[in-house]
Amino acid sequence: MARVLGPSLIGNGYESMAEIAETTQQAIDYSQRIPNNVHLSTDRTLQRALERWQPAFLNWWDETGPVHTSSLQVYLRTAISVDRDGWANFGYVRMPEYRWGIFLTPREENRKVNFGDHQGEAAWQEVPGEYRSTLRRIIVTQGDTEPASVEQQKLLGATCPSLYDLRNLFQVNVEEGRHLWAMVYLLHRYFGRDGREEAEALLQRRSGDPNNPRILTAFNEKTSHWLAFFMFTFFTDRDGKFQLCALAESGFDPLARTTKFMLTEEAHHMYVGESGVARVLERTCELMHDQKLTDPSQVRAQGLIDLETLQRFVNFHYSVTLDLFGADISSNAATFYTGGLKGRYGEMKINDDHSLASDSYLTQEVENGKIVDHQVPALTALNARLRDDYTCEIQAGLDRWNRIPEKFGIPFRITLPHPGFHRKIGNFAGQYVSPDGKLISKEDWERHVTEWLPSEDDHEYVGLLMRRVVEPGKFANWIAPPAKGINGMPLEFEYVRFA
Amino acid sequence: MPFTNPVSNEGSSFVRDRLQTVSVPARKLFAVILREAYRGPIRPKSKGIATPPEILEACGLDVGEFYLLLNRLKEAGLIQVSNAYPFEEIQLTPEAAVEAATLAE
Repeated sequence: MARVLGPSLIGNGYESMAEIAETTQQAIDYSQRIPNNVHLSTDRTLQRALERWQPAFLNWWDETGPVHTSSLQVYLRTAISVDRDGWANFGYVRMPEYRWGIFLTPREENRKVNFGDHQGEAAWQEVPGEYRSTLRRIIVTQGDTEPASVEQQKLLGATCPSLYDLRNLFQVNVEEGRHLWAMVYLLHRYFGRDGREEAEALLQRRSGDPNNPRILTAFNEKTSHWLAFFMFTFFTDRDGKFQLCALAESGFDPLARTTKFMLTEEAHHMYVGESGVARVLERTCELMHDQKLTDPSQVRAQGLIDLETLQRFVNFHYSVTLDLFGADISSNAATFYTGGLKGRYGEMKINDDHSLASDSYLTQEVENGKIVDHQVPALTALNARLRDDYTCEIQAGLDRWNRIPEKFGIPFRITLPHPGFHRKIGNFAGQYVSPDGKLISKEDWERHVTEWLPSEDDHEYVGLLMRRVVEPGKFANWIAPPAKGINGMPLEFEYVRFA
Repeated sequence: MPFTNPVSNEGSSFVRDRLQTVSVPARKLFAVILREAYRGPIRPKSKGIATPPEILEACGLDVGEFYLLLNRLKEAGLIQVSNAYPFEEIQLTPEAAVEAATLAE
């Protein structure tokens, strides 16, 4: 394990190496067939049930995971602890041999339910009977997204722009597999036979299968090229982050502890997306600057992705992800909150009574042909609030992206469309809203839609750029390397080894 | 691996003193930067330089949180950052680098 700064430098109560050792007792037991830090070996019934599920998971990976990859040695990180510093080791591993396991953050003594009707009660270590079916549904819905994204991305290896990006794809895939394990552990451990049946069903549904699709619409779409992958990991994985953050507040303590550790892994997935798009932007803006190009067709003539096309993909991925947050007004969300099952993002940093009984929240809806603001009971607007928190963070990412055209003196800026644009769920479902927030007619929408959303031509053009690059140090023309290196020398690191 | 206490016989340490001025998460980020600057997988790069891809895959920080903590470490005089987003290169300041060889062993 790499050396880390010792306690006398990190401080904060770490007075000695013994205290550090105490903290790292949450280190993961890799001697078990299923690596874990939940003392699985002390629950033989649960251990056997999960060991029976494990081959089904490996079959699922074999059938629907990244294609033609079983012999590749990939430079992957593997969790060795649930502490944020020094929590992972890196090494070459064949993906079917990756040590998927069950990792929860340490239990906090005296943790309470911090919101809703049960505020102040001790956090639950078992599932309260009255919330059993609700909690199971929450866990299944979250769990279903994890294998779904692996299924959506399984063909991308064939068109990777570099070994570095190929490795990142595989890193994301194996960790989404681990997130499935996280939810399956909860189902097996806390939900009896129903939980075991749901765990099996999670391996039977398939992204895009008309007969047995994944639960959420966005997870049945194909991820057909690498721009879509970067957009997905930036926009849609971030919905995952916000859902996990809300669940990390749960009064059901095992769920909170599971999702907290998942967030540690999810952070890098979103970086893969953000940095991927940033590198595309860098390549395009550099060319536009050097060759004084202004027209998208000139950029395309050079085999790069023009800024207008990037904007259309931003419009698409942002709008479909907003739908994942659910209806703006939701009695289910209110129930989850009052029940102490799912909190708000950063619940304990919010300075209010954490019951919301008399609070209101500002939402938008369409009334008499206009978009109007409405104050609604805050309890019913929790989806809207979480979506707004998400949008703030997305905007911060776009602000970082926009430093790139600014650096090159290019006036174009990537922007977010109005939250009512291209929506199928919530207050704007069925409405036609332009990216700048105007209500328009269906005819106007159809006239302009190819300016606002990726067209068949856009997908086809981007698809044509996708040529596999697997020579160490090389990168596809349409994307910049992730770092400058020295003196323009190609970056060398063999992130994936072929047999 | 045993931890080597970088505190000199005189009992003072530039790194220790400056780390006291930042939060625990920032200190932990500094530890990751230190490790990646001397061992990170991306090559070629100058000795003592860490890049965001190496750092972010080695820690569980969100990008936004990463940049906030990076600023705190800059303000504390522990690191310097060159190049522009997203190709920043992060290096210890000369004062911190004097102790770096011992810390990163």
